[in-house]
Amino acid sequence: MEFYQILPFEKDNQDVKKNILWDIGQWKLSSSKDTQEIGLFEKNLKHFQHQQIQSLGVVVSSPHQISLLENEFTSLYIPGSLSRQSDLLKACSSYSQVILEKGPFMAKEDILHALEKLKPCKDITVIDAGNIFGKGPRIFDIRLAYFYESKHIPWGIYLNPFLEEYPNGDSFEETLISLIRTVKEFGGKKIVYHGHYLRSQIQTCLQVIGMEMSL
Amino acid sequence: MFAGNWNGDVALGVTFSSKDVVLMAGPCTLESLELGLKVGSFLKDLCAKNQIPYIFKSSFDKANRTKDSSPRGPGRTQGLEWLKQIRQELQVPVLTDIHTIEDVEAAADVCDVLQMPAFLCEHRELLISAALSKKVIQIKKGQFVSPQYMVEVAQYMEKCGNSKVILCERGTCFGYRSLIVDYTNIYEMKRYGNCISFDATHSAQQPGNQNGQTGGQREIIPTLARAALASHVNGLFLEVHPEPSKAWSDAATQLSFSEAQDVISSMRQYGSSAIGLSK
Repeated sequence: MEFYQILPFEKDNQDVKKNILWDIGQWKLSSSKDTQEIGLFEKNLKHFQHQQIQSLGVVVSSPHQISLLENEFTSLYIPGSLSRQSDLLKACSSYSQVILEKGPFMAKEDILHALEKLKPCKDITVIDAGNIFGKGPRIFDIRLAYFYESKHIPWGIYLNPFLEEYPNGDSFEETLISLIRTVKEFGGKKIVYHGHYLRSQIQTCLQVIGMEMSL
Repeated sequence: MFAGNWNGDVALGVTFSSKDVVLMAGPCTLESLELGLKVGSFLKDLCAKNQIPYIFKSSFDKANRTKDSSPRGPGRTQGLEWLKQIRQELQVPVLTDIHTIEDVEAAADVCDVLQMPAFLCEHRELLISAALSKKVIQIKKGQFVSPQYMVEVAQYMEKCGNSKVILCERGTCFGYRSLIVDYTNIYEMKRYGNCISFDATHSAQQPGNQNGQTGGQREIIPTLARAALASHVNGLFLEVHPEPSKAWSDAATQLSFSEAQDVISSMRQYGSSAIGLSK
């Protein structure tokens, strides 16, 4: 089991190398305070084009972005809310490794249709980001763990959406431990997260459950 | 006046306001020019008879079909040419979906309202490019985001120089196959002064319920629309097809002409029964 951090590309973190999924385009609007700059993907991609080694992964949000890539990254990461965009998935399908975040609106049958769009790519991992049940926190449906296992679909989870019910800095250690143990038990391969605070929380939890590993 | 001092003007005499609810309606996919003209003519006449401002709606590309083998539409070039002809012949504003920055640039030359699909409501650069088009932008609320988030989206559009924004409620996911409309979302988005519409068609969907196709409950659409009108939305969105069972997309939730007539003829009556809510 491996941990991957989604990280926006900024001056102070451009030397970080290990298990990073670079969000070089800052594709997702988080709040009205976000940057109004366009072309961030193209601009930040130039930094990676000068490197001798491949970086791990990059978050993609349009077919155009994929057309710009020249093997700077080992894998492509497709965000959950874009997981049904046919042209984006088809553009990713020629890449050797794809990480597909499951849309929070997707049933298990829909995942198979998305995987169909990603053919002929053979190395695909589905990252479960939970499902929406109204306005509460996302819920990980344990039936999907069985589904991934029985269909031999490599899978993992994206931690952050499950932790949104703790907005005031409350401890979410037990939830975190439960999620990590579930992934391990059902053979999940990847755990994705973002945020430096969560990184240190995960490290603490791994120590508690005796899974010594460096993030 | 709406947030950002937008006066609600669209084009060809159609204006969003607190007085008259605007109908945005047409076939889900623009299957042919003939279909567009047939549905558009029917709806235009019906709206004129009922004194309802009307915008024609249809999509040239269904870019997120569940199954890759499902038809997507005529494509950007052909579809926009047909929309241009429909606008010219019917003399009504037209609305269509955008999925890429290239779509925005092309559609802005033809259409009066550009629509951001719900799955793309978080897409920062697409939002910016839509804002820069200076067109009226309808943004569907993602089934997975809060109404507060949509208010942030509208504020972001205003910062990008475009306050001509309509926020469209279309239900919230409750598990895999069910969408439920929380009508307090309309109030939450509206209390910041935003122009609000309601998509009665897609709120009735049951995603992934029909073997790889989106199912739905067409019969619940009048009730959903009625509640939205009672909540004083500024616009109502419907998809209409002469033979819904033969439609290329969303066959389970497009209304037939007679069903559309029932809803549209009742629009003024529905809204007037709401008591105690400020328009």
